[in-house]
Amino acid sequence: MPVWMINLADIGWLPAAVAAGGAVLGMVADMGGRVRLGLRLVSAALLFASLLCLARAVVPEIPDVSSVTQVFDVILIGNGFSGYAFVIYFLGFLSVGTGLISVREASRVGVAALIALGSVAGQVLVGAFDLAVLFVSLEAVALVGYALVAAGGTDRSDEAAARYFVQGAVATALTVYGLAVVVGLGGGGTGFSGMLDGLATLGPQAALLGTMLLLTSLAFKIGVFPFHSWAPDAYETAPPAAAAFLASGLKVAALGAFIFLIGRAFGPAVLSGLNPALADTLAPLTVIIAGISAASIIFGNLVALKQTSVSRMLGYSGIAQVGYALVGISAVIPGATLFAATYAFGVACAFLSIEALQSAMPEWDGSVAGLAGAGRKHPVAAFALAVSMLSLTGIPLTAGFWGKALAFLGGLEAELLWLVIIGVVGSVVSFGYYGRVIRSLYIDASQEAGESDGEESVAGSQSATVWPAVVAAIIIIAFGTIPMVTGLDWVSIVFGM
Amino acid sequence: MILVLLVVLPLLGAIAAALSGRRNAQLPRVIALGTTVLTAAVSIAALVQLLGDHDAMFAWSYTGEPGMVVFRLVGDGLAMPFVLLTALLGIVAVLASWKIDDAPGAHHALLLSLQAAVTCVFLAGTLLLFYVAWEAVLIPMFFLIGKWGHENRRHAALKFFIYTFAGSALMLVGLLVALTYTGGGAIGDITVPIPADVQVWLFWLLAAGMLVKIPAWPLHTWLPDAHVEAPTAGSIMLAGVLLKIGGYGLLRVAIPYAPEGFKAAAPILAGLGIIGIVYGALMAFAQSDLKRLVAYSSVAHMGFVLLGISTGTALGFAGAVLAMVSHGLVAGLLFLLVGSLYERTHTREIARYGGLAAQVPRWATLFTFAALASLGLPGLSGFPGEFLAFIEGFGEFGWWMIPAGIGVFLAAVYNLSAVRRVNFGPLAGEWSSLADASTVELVAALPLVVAIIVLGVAPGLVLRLTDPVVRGITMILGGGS
Repeated sequence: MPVWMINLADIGWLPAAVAAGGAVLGMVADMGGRVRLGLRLVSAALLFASLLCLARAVVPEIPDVSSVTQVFDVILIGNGFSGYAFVIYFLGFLSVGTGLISVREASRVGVAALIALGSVAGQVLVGAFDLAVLFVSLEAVALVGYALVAAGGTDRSDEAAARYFVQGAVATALTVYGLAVVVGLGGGGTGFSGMLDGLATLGPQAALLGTMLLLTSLAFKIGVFPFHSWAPDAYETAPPAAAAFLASGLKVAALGAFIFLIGRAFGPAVLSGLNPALADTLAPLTVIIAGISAASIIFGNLVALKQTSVSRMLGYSGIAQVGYALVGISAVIPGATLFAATYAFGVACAFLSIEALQSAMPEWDGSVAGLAGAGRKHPVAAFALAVSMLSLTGIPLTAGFWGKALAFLGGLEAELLWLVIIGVVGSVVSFGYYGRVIRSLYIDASQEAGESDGEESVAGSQSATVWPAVVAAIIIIAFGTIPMVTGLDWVSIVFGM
Repeated sequence: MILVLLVVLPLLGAIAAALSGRRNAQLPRVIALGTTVLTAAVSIAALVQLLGDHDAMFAWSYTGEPGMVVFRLVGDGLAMPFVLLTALLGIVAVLASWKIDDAPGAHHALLLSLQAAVTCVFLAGTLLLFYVAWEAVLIPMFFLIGKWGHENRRHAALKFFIYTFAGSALMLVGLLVALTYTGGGAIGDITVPIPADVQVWLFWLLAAGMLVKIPAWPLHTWLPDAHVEAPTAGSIMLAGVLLKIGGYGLLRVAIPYAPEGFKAAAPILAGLGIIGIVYGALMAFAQSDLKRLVAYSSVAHMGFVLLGISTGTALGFAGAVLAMVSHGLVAGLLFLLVGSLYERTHTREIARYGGLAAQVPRWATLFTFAALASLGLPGLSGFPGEFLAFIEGFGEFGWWMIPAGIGVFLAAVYNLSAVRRVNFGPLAGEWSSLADASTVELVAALPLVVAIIVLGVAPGLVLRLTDPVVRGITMILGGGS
């Protein structure tokens, strides 16, 4: 590999700059009325950013050292985070790549630019090694989230966005309280290491309270029970292409931040080595996280079973999915991060297929039953949707299986057998609603097989928006099958921590 | 390499069948038939290789390059009988679905990928591959039942999937636990024995998935629905091969990894097996639907398999394997016949048949033969396996075997009464123009009939293959016999 390419990939801030620059250029093009050009600019910038991150993750010649800035501690790239950043940028690229048909034309480029900026904020959030950086990037991610929900432009999506915003404001307030306790009462250090020293000087209750307040805010962003109530409305009312990024890119960034915060700062493994007294103080955290995880899995699955709308079902099932991610969170093996990445690809693929199906079938009301016959009329989008459903269930040969298997393996290493059993039973229940989508797509199709196939031509003309869903489905299958032969090493290079 | 072919060939055939189905309805059938015949030839070649190589009988031969951690195939004496059975039933299933007109390309592609997945379960050399293949079986089966099944297929497909997935998800936890304790991913690579107190619950976690598949009473309730709604080829594969992966899994994974747990669980397993024998027979006798009758007879037969396994002796294990292979052949034949009759009459109601022996003599002869094999007539394949299981069970559990003996008697009752009600008596007027079994069906039935007779006369063919492996398992159990 040429030296200049290695040097290029070695610049830590480059992907973020490329993505943000693409967003700005897109907005400029939009001002000139060139909507398609604007979208292309943004998606090209996101693709380039994601490829830079991927190169950083997989090319061995590129030195894998953290680029920690002088003022605030941020790991922009390196140490495996580049793989995670690749996931975020690439999902942004796929979302913009649909052409955002379901968004009003006037705000398409704006939404694309928001997705690009959300990706940047997501990368920073995952790499945060400092409470101040964590807080600022978390708020930036949240703002993008509110705007994406509101991009639907309907009364319902405005209402959902407003509710999301109000609830988000409460979570922000809790974070500020948490910062006041941890930073204010502690030593004043915002870096993770300084923060831990500060916590050790506090009384045990104060330390526990401060940490819990901090985690609460992140718990809200990842949408676990009992901080989940915004998710179903937001997923259902946001335009599917925007929901694809909201549910995958932003979620995976917040989930990554949560996992890394536990792993880097509060994890029992870290604490017991550094600060045994603090480990005892924060021991209840492990129990609380396990409890939240179990509650999310049970609640999300049971409520998702009752849903008739595909997007709303994905919203509730997303609560359960975050629960699975938390099962393996305290283990050493990268189960939780791998699971988060595979979940992100699964849910993004689902929403991208929904976007394609919605533009191909304008009469579809978004319900599961309304998908009957889609497998025959729109085979490509239906195939991608079916693959995503299998992956979200965690069926082998899809990426979701490795994510779940490693997450549960992590749970077993942490000696949480009861939680793992709740997790697998939850996965079984989840096929009750994921499988229903597949059944509608393919099996119910044959009941109305007599219908004319005249709509094929319509599907053909709209198929330009299908490719992002197909790319996501191919990645899911590739990540599901290739490790069978090669082993999982390269997968954890991309997704590890 | 030859083992990899066994898995890859049907997959390639599946892709070819799916692609060719768009242009031509006949082409996918021919491709599927060619692929299954070729796969059968390869599996016979694999058998010859195994027989020629004496080490392979005792050690675990494997293919796979170093460093490949997940994909490792092992074909030994325990796996090969099932691989051959799968290859044979694969041909039968393709022939049985010769007349399917609704998307034949997709149908045959699913059938072939099902065969690949099942073969992969039997050949799996690592715990993860075992699970992956085990679950991969569900996907084609889900679509086969759901798309080509009968009236109530929508419900049956989802029920089948969720029910068996529930069992196998618990099995996944068990496999992961086994993985964390032993560290080695290869099946049988147990350098550090798992603590005995862990084994007690680990066995049940592992067995959960397998007992659902077998299916053991009371986890059998998915089976009648799935069988009745599945298309003929689906039923043949389901009864013939899919149920076997349960018993195979017990022998290959659950017992070697948790021998202590197995010893503690053996009496319960035996009890479930005996209940299955009697319950399956009684339920079969009570059915008015011919396909449901055959489905319940599977519960009874697999009860013998569970009984044989629960004895923990080498002969008991061998009997279980023999009974499984035999049931695969017999159930395959019965479902083939019932399916072909349904195709012509569009009913499965036993009461509406009668006197078919005079109208369709070839079909009726085959049906009588299959019923005799099913009731365990000496000289046919059903006898030696179940007899071994029964004898070994008697040695192990004594007079508790009396209900199982009653089950043997009941098997004769329901099989013979089915033959009487379908084949004899006055011919119902509506069937006066019923056509006899076609050439394709006869070609499909012939290898099964031959295999049933051969195994009945010379069960040693299978026993010779399985003997070294089951002895190995009993050595792990610490007994030896």
